[in-house]
This record gives sequence, C-alpha cells and structure tokens, in this order.
Amino acid sequence: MSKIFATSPPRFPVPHAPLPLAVWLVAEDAIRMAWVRLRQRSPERFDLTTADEDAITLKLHEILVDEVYGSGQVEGFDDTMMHIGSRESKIRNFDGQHPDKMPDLHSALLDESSSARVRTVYSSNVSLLTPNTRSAFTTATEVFFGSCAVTMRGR
Amino acid sequence: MLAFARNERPDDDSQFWFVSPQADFSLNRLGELRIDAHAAHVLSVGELIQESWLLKCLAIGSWLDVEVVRKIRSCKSRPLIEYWEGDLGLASTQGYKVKGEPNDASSLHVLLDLGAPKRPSSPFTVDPTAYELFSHETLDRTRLDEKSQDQLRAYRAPLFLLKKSLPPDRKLANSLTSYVDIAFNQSYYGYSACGDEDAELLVRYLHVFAHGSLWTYLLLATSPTIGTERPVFLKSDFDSCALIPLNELSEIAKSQLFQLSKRLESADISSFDDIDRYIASLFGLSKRDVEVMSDTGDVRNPHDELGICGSRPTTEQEIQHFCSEVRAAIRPFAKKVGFEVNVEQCGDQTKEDAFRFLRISVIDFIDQSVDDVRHLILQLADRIGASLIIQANDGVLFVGVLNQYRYWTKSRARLLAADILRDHFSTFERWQSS
Amino acid sequence: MTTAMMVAYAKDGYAIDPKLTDALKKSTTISTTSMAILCPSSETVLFCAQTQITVHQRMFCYAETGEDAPDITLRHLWLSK
Repeated sequence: MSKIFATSPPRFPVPHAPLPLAVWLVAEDAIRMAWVRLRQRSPERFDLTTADEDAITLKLHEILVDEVYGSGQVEGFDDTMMHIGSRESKIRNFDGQHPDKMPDLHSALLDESSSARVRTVYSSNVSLLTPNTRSAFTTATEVFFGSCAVTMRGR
Repeated sequence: MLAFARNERPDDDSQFWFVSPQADFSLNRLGELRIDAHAAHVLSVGELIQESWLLKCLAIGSWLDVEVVRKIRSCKSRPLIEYWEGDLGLASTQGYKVKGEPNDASSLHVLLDLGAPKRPSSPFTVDPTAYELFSHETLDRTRLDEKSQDQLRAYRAPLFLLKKSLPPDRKLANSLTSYVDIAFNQSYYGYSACGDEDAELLVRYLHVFAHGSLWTYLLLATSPTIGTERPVFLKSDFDSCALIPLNELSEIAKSQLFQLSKRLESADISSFDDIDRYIASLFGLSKRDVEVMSDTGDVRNPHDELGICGSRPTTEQEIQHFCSEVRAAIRPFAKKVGFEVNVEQCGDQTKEDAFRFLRISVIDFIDQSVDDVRHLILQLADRIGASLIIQANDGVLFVGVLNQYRYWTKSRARLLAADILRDHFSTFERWQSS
Repeated sequence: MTTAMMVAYAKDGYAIDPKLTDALKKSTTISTTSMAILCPSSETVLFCAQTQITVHQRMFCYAETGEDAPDITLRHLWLSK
C-alpha cells in the first residue's frame, strides 16, 4: 500500500546543514592516500609529469575506488557510511538550469540523497511542543521526531 | 497505490514525494498505520522513467536497497532474456495450459510429463523414471514453436524449470533441472539450452542462480507482485533480472558453479550458504550489500503479508548488536576529531516498552542533569506516529527507536548512524570544545 | 551546500602558501570574505600540503526559496606533482 504525493518540487530547507568536519577529514585522508599511491607508481605505469589534469583525475578516481575505498587504510572511507560516486555522477546546479553537472570526484554520506527529506521529516522539533510541555525543557535540549507526521486511524 | 497529482505534464526535473507505510501487525489490527521517517522519499519523474523498479524497491526497503539493486544491475550483467534469447538464440516459455480451447496436443505424446508423476522424486532435478508420458489429447496452449524446424523446441533438454509460485523456503526447491525432454505445465517457466555448446552448464547456472538469495531479493525489490500480492511472480520478472553471461565467468568460477550445481541437485542443504557467497562474489557485492539484502528479506518476507516478523519486539541481543553497529559506524569519524563515542542501552526499560532508548555520548561525558521529560516525549511521539526520537543535549544523545524488529536491523543501525553524523554530530563537537 | 573541497595538482615548486592567497587577491571575479587560514585538524604529509580554508561570497538565489545563498567555505587540498 503506497502513496504518491505529486506536487511542484518539494521545498527543501536550503542551504543544507554543513557536514561535520570529521567527514571532510576522512575524505581528505582518502584523497591523500590515493595521491601517495599515484606518486609511487613508476613513470612507465603512469607519468604524472606529462599527464593532463583529466588523466590525473581519472587515475586518482580509479585508485580511490579500487585501492583505498573499503580497504581499511582510511578508517571511515568504506561502504558502512560513505558512497563513492562514479566518474559520471551527475549533480544539479544551484538553480536547476544545468542538471548534468559532473564534479571531478563525488563522494557522499550514506543515504545522502535523502538528507533533505529526512530533515524535512524531522520538522517536529521543539516548536511543535505545546507551551506547557515546552516549559519542561531547558534551552539546551532539542528533540527530533523521526516521523512523517501522518497517522491514519479508522476502523 | 494512491496518487495525488495535478493534471499537468511534469517537467523532466519535476519531483514528488513517495510515501510508503509498512505492514505493521499490531497497529494494522487496530485499523491504524504508521509511516516510518525513512519511508518518505523525494523522487523525480526522470529517475522513475530510467528506473521503473524504484517505487517498488522503496516500498519494501530503504535507499540502501536502491543502491544494492543499482549495483547488481550495473555490474557486467545483462537482462536474462536478452542474453538467453537474444545473444544465445535459445528458447524460453511458460508451460502448457490445459483448460480452454481444444487444440491438438498429440505431438507432445513423445515427451514425459512433469505434471504426471508416478512417484515422489527429487525436487531439484528430474528423475526420468519418475514420470509418465504426456497423455492429454488437447491443450489450450501447447507452446509448440510453429516457426521452428523442431516444434518441441521449448521442451528439449537440457531444461531449467522455474516454479512461478515462490516456495516459503528455497530449500523446498524453487526450480529444477532436466536432462531429458519433458513437457511442463503453466505452473512453470521453462528455459531450454538445447543446441548451445555449453547447454548443460547454462541450465546448471540458472538453477544455482535461482536458488541464491540474490534472486529472491531481486524479486522482492523489483517484482510488481512479490511482497505486495500473493507470492507468484511473472516470467518477465525472471527475464528482466540481471545475469552475468556465462562466458564472462572464469574457468575457476565455472568449475565452482558445476560443483555447487551437483550439490544442489543432490539436495545438499549446506550448499545454500555457499551458493550465496558464490553469487555475491560474481556480482561484486560487499558484506554490507549482503547485509542489506538479508535485513530486507527478513522484515519483508513475501510470505509474511501481515508483517509479523518485522513487528515483533526486538530482543536484548539485537539491541546489543544495534549498539555495536552504530558505535562502529560513528567511531572513525569521532576519532578523526579527537574523541570516542559510547553507545549503550539506557537502563530502566522493559521488553514491552513502545520505544527502546539508547544513550550515545562522548566517552568521557559526565552525566549531568538531563531533562527527565521522557513521558512527555513519548506522548508526542505517539501523537505524531514517530518511529524515531532523538533528544539532543550537549555531549549526549538519547535515541528512542520504536520497539519493533524492523527498526533494529544492522542496516537500520547504519541509517541511524548516518543521520547522527549528518545532523547531530555537533552535539559531541560542542561538548568536546567546551 | 556551504562547504566544498578544491583539489589542486601543483607543479614542483608551486606551493599553496603564498600562491593561493596571491591568486585570490588578484582575482576580480572571486569575492573572498576570508583569506586562507590553515586547518588546525589537518597536517602536511608526504606529497600533500596542510589543508587551507577560505570563505567566499556567492551571488545567486536558491531556486527552492528565492533566498540569497550564504558564503561558501572552501577547503583547499594541494597535491604536489
């Protein structure tokens, strides 16, 4: 039993909340690890001095996917929590005029595609509480309810 | 399926919400339903045109399942029917149909009939001594190939015969091989490899593939009927499933395939785990992918229409595993910015509680007075049909997860960890810097 | 998106400090709110400079809300060829 609510594009809260620093640091470590491996390749296998930018990025991506991702060399850079996109990953630009933007490298947190909707779903934070219940909380507490805020009742 | 839409042509980039409630045994009995937070998805029309299985997949699972199905379909696999009929030029058909128009069926009289057993025999492969000859005078659909030199082409050995009704357990055999020509009725879909130089191995390949959990999972995730109606699938479900062509397999893989097939045909129950490992390795599936398939198969078992398995209260052991998974998923990121996290079950809870609470904190967090408002939170959660509660204080998160097994799988632990990392990690960072 | 990473492949002798700041100062198209600072959580390792952080203004509105996009923080990862 499923429902589709078709409408104009959903209004996401933008900009999305920034990713924690830890995620950037893990991603940077992965790129560094891939780069060291690329640098250690013999010139016969890959000549960095003559390769153009695209060729270097392609090789870097290959090493990231084949040798670093999921290898355990960079903790956190595996399929427990992160995806690594293909070279052709397409991403929409800010106003939707260019739906086929292709970043050179694309990695995302698990279920990233749903991040906007999950935050929307979590709309029932403290502001939903009634004045009486809100007074029961100190200002340091926030409560998020994972719910679509839809229950249907009836017999 | 119920759609709310404006009557206007959508743009390529138009999006819509897809919301899918799950079968919830206890709640549905009361005439109520709940929609999980992870069951609301924004999709674009373009995505749906490209991947028509998307709605089904999200209706039975989460975005993790979409990623797994994409991975299966994007490896060097081909839709089975394109490979079987297109590349190899082999025959496949649904079995003969008895009732209806009386068409002459005498040309089938030279064949054995799978529908006429003399005695019980192996469910995994046809024992030619166990069947009578075909004896119907007329059939509604004979499945004779009038255009072919051999009209009985569809019934020629070697054959792979797939039951269109999914048994509750694959160990009961969902299909069988036949190395003799045999007629089969409409309860089967038949694939004849007759004429191919690798005919026998091709049939063995389909047989092993059909007994892998990947096939059942693909059915659940993409078939329009399995998991939503009675457990009977369409031939097009098998035809469209991803298969890596036999010639892409290494000689070692072919040899393993042959061995697995022999064990399967001899009803060796221990072969099933090996079959799963073999198929996962062919498709390059990771431990996490297999975990997602297994979790979804568990909580959305096609034979469990009422969702009894997914609705049962979670066990203490499952909660412990869940805590370990969340901790293991967050730990590398926490370590990167200099702290450790602890994930444990909150005390003072019982098996019957509607929500089970976890306490996630930085390891040296000293308990401060935290608002004791859980009863208010639970009232609100009930009012809005929540499946997840996150109460955030600096340095500590209290996470309430609805006390039903479907929310306590390893895959759900990863989804929760991702939510925490994305939306609540600052709770720990603030504590760390204070 | 309010943070992004820029990866650069730097030729021998071409170092992030001071080249990045020099380039940003010269630019007439990039509006820099905060010039390069070292990321304290990052460090220089073999073939890779310590990550530097800059902040830039953006001149567009979000299609979803019509609101101005806020500044973007860039993390610059320079890899030496």
